Amino acid sequence: VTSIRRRLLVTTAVVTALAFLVSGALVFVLTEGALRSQFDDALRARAQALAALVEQDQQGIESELAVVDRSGDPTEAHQLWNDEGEVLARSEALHDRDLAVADEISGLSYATGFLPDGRPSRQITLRFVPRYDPEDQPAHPQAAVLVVARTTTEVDGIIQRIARVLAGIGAAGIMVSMGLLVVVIRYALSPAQAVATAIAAIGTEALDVRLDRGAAPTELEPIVDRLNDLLARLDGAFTRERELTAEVAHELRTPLSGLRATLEVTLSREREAPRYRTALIDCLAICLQAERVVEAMLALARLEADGVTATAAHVELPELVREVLVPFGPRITERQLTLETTLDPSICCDRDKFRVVLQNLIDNAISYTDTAGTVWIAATSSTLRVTNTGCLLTPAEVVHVFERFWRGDRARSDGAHAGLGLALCKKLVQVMGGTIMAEIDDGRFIVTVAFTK
Amino acid sequence: MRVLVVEDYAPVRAAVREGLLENGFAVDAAANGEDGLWFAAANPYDVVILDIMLPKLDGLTLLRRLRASGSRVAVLLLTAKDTIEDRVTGLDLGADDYLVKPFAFAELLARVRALVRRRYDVATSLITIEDLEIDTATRTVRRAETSIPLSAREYALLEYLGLRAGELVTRTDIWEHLYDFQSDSTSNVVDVYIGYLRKKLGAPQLIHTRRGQGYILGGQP
Repeated sequence: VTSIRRRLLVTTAVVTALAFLVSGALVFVLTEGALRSQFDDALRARAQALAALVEQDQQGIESELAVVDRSGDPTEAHQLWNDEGEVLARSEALHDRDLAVADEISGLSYATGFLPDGRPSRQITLRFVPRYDPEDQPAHPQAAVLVVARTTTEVDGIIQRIARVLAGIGAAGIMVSMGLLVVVIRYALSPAQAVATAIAAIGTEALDVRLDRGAAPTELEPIVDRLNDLLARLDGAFTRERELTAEVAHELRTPLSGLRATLEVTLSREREAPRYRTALIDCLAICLQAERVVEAMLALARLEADGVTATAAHVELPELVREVLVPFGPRITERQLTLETTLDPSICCDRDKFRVVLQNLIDNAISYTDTAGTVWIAATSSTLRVTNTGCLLTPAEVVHVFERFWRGDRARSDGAHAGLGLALCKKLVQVMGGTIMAEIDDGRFIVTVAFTK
Repeated sequence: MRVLVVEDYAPVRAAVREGLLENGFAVDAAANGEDGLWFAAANPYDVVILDIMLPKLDGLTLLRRLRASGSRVAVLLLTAKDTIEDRVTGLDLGADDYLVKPFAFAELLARVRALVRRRYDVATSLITIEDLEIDTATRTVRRAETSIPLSAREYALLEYLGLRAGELVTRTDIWEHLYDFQSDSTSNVVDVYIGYLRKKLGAPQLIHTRRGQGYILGGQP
């Protein structure tokens, strides 16, 4: 329905046909008029010539019309009357029938009618005073009425032929121009077709291609530009998706390879029961690790989906920190860590999300502090800072800590950390409308969360 | 045969080490690239199983440095990355083989054995010296159509001698290729096992002694 080609074709075809019709009609009308008036002129000349053959004297009107009566010529007839309506002369072809006389008889007048034999005709009525010899002048010169009729069959035929020729030329012209239009429109729209072909050739596996802006006509440039923008966005999204899939595959392959190697080696021969037990414990640990990776990835994916919102509220800081620290107690004792907290009464943010951030930051700090090191948790009404000693990261590495699946050497080898904790924290803080940053200061790893407002 | 496993993920490292040990290999294991490079440079391993993502020094850098130092040890890359680009990079850097995680342990074993054969220029898994047949795939030994049961240590020693049949093999060679760091071996352990082997293989004698130098399996005494 909205095909530009069809629309152009229909519109231009209608316009072309109308142009042909109007110009054809004009040519016809002008030609017909010229032919008719030429016919009338000839008729008048004939009538005048015939009138010259009529003369009068004292005896009355006499004519020599009978001499010129071309009785054999069926195309013409004439009849002459005197004032009293007495027929003075008549073509033999009329066979005693009368020609019609125009009602208004003054000078000359034309009329269209039929010959007595039924053929269409054009006739002229001429009222005149027949000439007389001045020496033989009648007492009362009389007027006479001459009617000359001529069939229009021939001129009608010519006019009909002209009409047919014009109609034929018009029809052929319309057909030819339609054909040309199809070609011209196709040619004119070929850049659009080229763009369409180029777009059709783009598959999801090759989104890095861009449409050639230079090859498109000026009118299509905005469309090409927008399409290229769209392609760039799609390409980016697909690339991120592929990277994520590759990362996920890699992350899951590691525990899978551990499981498979452990199980295959264990099963390769008969063993004592305790050895199976050890292998199963190892496998369970690997499963739990894989589960943590999957859970963290899902949490991250849910956050990345649109529509996650945060509800700010006053969160009692000392209470929350105490709660979060409970499960870490044994590890703090085991690693002989010193824990120092400096807390304001409350912070304004989304309680559940802030809790997850706090858990992850404390988990990281406790995991990577050197044995007998120190962890500081400091929070004001709008900031949170978790610091730990014994950081082995270099400043160049710290830049990456918030990246998905990034792990420092120490975290990479233990298998317990998926490299998603800080990525999750960053996303959560962003959802809450805050900022998060990491830095190293004299071997201390410091993560600072700040909420504006 | 002595194998080095460089892998940071403990479950894989432990399982591969144990599986290889059970299949008669002497195995050393390293958990990071630096240790791995040190091990590889210090000992004449037959095969190095090398993970690519390693702490401290990544596997590909380790491989590049190892090759730069002139080592021609057979290297089998082990990694979770499996794009063609990763494989090509690894192989171009001088790796001999490539295995993607997770892998079948039987396949790893077969590939390690194949690398060992290639290293000693042996075409098949069956080594024949006169009437002695050593099947390295099934780890069985036959002499004159009679099966000879051997302990793991004895088999490993015979296989090494078989792979280098006709060549002079020194005690140091044996020591370096058949014992890992955790083996508690005394200096005359090689002589003791040569004695066991000779007794089990029977007459005529196949293992010849070159006094003060080492041993030759097969060939002229």
